[in-house]
Amino acid sequence: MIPVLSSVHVFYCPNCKLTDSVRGPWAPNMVRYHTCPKLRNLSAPMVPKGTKAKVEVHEREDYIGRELVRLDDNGRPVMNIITTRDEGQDCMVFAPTATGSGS
Amino acid sequence: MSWSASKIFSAYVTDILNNTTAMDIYSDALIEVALYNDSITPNPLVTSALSAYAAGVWTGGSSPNIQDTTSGNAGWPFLGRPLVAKTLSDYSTATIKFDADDTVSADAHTTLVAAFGCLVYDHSAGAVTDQGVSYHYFGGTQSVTEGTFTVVWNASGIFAITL
Repeated sequence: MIPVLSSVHVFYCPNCKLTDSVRGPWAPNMVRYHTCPKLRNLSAPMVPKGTKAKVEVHEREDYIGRELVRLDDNGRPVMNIITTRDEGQDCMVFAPTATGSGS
Repeated sequence: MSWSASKIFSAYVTDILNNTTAMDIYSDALIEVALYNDSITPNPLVTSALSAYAAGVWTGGSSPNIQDTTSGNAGWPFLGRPLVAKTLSDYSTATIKFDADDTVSADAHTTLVAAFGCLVYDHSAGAVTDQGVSYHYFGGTQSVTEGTFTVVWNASGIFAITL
């Protein structure tokens, strides 16, 4: 009898400390998300367990005008979430919706 | 001046209504997302030709167009990354909404420097090659180093037209 091995990938959030696991194949550029109570209840990335990292929210740096931007629970415009690791940095940027209003 | 807003190209809508192009946002295989720095001032009211990738302000293959600078440039090439799982709302809503899954770099070791926004364009054959659909201003500078870059599309869609 040959046992079927299934890979398990464990993730955690450096802010709220939530852990989660995923079975099966996991591509390196795939990101595990969770709604983080420590990051304004935004859908924030988790990092592989054992990875030293900080995950931070940044507000939009420019005038909103009539842009349809992502807002946090407090109505503040969110620009991106940056994950800083020892060996690099990830970025998830919240792109506004394009509209036809204005010029 | 640099860019400061996210807009649909008016030529994209008028060309479809006039049937001067065969662009089909649903079935066209490649709707790409190309990245740009802050040295451009996009205009949503330009001609079809000037809305296209590698035309007008949308220089292709060099600055202000941005690509992954790691070996192979595969994480996010100049041409961009494709939209996947595209959806378009139907006639029953007053806001026509085009959406897709979030767009992610092809690998987890991408390096991008100072991306300020993106051009969404139709890379499939049409009356105008690589005609622009919309552009999106990120609200500031975005960079990744040996990591993953994700463009999270707004809950209101990539573009929305309210009737």
